[in-house]
Amino acid sequence: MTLESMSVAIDLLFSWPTIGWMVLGVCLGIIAGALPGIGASLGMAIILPLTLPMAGLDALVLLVGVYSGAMYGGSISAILVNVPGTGGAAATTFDGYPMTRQGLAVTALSISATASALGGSIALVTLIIMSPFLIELVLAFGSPEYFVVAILGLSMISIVAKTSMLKGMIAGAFGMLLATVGMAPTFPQLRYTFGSLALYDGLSFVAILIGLFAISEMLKLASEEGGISKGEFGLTGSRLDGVKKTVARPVKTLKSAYIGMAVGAIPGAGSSIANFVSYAEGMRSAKDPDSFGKGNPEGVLSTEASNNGSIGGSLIPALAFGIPGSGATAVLIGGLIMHGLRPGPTLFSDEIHITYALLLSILVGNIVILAVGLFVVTRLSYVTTVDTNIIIPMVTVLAVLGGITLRNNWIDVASILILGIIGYYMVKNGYSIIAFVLGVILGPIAEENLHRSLQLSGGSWEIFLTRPMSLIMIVMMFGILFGPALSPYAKRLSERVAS
Amino acid sequence: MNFNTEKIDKHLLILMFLVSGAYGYSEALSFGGQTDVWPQMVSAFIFGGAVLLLFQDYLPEPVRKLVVNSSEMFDVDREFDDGSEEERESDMETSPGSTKQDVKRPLNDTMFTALAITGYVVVGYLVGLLWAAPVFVAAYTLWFRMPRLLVVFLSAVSFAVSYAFMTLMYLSLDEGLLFGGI
Repeated sequence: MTLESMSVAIDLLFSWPTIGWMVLGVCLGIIAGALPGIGASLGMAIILPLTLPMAGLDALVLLVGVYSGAMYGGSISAILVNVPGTGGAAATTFDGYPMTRQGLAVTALSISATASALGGSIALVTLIIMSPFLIELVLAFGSPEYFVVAILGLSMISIVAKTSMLKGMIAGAFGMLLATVGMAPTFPQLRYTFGSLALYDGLSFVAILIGLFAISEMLKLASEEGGISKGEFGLTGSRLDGVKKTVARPVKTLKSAYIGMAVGAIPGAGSSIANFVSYAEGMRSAKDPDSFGKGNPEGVLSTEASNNGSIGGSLIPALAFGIPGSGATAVLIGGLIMHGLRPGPTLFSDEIHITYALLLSILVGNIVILAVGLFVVTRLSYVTTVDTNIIIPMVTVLAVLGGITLRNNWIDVASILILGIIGYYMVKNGYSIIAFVLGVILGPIAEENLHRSLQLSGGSWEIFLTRPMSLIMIVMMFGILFGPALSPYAKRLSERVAS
Repeated sequence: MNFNTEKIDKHLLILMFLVSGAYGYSEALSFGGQTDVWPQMVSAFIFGGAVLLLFQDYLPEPVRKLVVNSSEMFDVDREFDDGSEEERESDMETSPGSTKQDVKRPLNDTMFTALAITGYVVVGYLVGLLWAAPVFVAAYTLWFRMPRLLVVFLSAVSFAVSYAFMTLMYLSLDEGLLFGGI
């Protein structure tokens, strides 16, 4: 990390209109997180095509602002009406809603805002400090390592997703197959275009994201019925009390933030798993674990610190290797590529100031979250009363318009529609959408690096076994894929040895 | 005649994977310059995986476990779901407008939504998204019996948003295949 790069990053971030876009992004994100069925991924997917005319850094800062804001916004409906606005706020309902019932809604919302701001900041500062080591790691990766890490990323999602591992891998492979449509990356060969000019450039990754995150989510929302809340919630409690309760628990906040960061770095895990893991740990280490689930402020603190902490974690594989740690970082990677930036060594060398500006924008965004959370949220809470039958058609219109905006190509709109419907049925039948998205993103990375590796080795596959880092990752992959099936045998063997 | 729609959906998806895997593999045989390697690997995996899913009930138990079970790496949901799920259900029952489809309609809500979105895209392609958007929004909100004033307002907003896209992004959203040409 050079001070010069950091100084350039600060100058870039605090210039106009970049700082304005950041604040707008956080505010939009809070609304997106609070609206039922929207959340970070969908909010970012809708906004992504609209960033086309914007400058690169402005667009990215807007997108990460939405990401960061939505992580907090999801807690608003979780606390007030027991329905998490995002997956990352699911565990917040356990203690947040009981606090509302006890007349402590404002206290709970303040705890959420403070914990989100602190948790997010802790993770980001750690990431900035870690960045020199991350740079060394990224620069040590060659084509064979990039190929193996792409496959490893996909195998990890197949075990993190709560579905059959094979279904996860099939979903990922299907995404990879879709990514092969169009011109091959290493040779002028058209693939799966059916002779259509419109498919020469392949399927748009952003259109696929919009279809999977927007349309399929709207189809799911249609079956869940609108009107999550009718505005009948009492907003009583103390803002100051909420802040004091959070600040008085620095160890819990720190631990939750790091749990979020660690879990968030696992591809596909993200905040929806981080918040449960952090809640479980918070309960385990509490002085009175029985009070969890009955309105214990530590329950809200643990989950909210971790879900914003997971943002920093998910950025590690995303910026370093182009592997999304969550659906939202998948959209962010789309934004990076759309604006001419490739995840990987470039982001940590020539464009390091962009990376730092991005990380700093999340850090500063946490201050906006704190301000909004403490002073505006009582008015913002009415967002949770918006009928889903209003949300669905409006989001659909934005999604379709976003699709046609990408390349003025009706194939993109068709992709949105078809993949939205396929995505809905895939989720309904236990296939992982995140694995599908990972496949679409990782497919081209894996293919390009596979070709390059085989060219380097003269066609020999041994190159993946002779390089230490590549071999370690292959062993990890086998462990991840076959470990659960083999563990009963290993356990029996160790019992036999022990006896 | 009763159809188990869940089984139909499940098998349709497996069929989709079988067809895409088989087609992907066979089509890749004609690719040159070693650009066939990756699509063939991926297609073969999809096809093989789909076959395993199709015949999962007939597989030997250890293989079946690998195919069917999740890895349970993070098992937290099982610990926490029970209590909160009951509470959430009881709250949903008491709050107005929170139950599932309670007005009988010829189509279920998801099917209608899918058809409406498809109609929006098709009509948009034919006559232009600028004109299709308010029609879609109006049809959707009328189906769900929203107040007329709200229907008009939302349709107007969707028209305005489409118009803004057309102007700011220089898109010909007022033209379609039938009028104006694509």
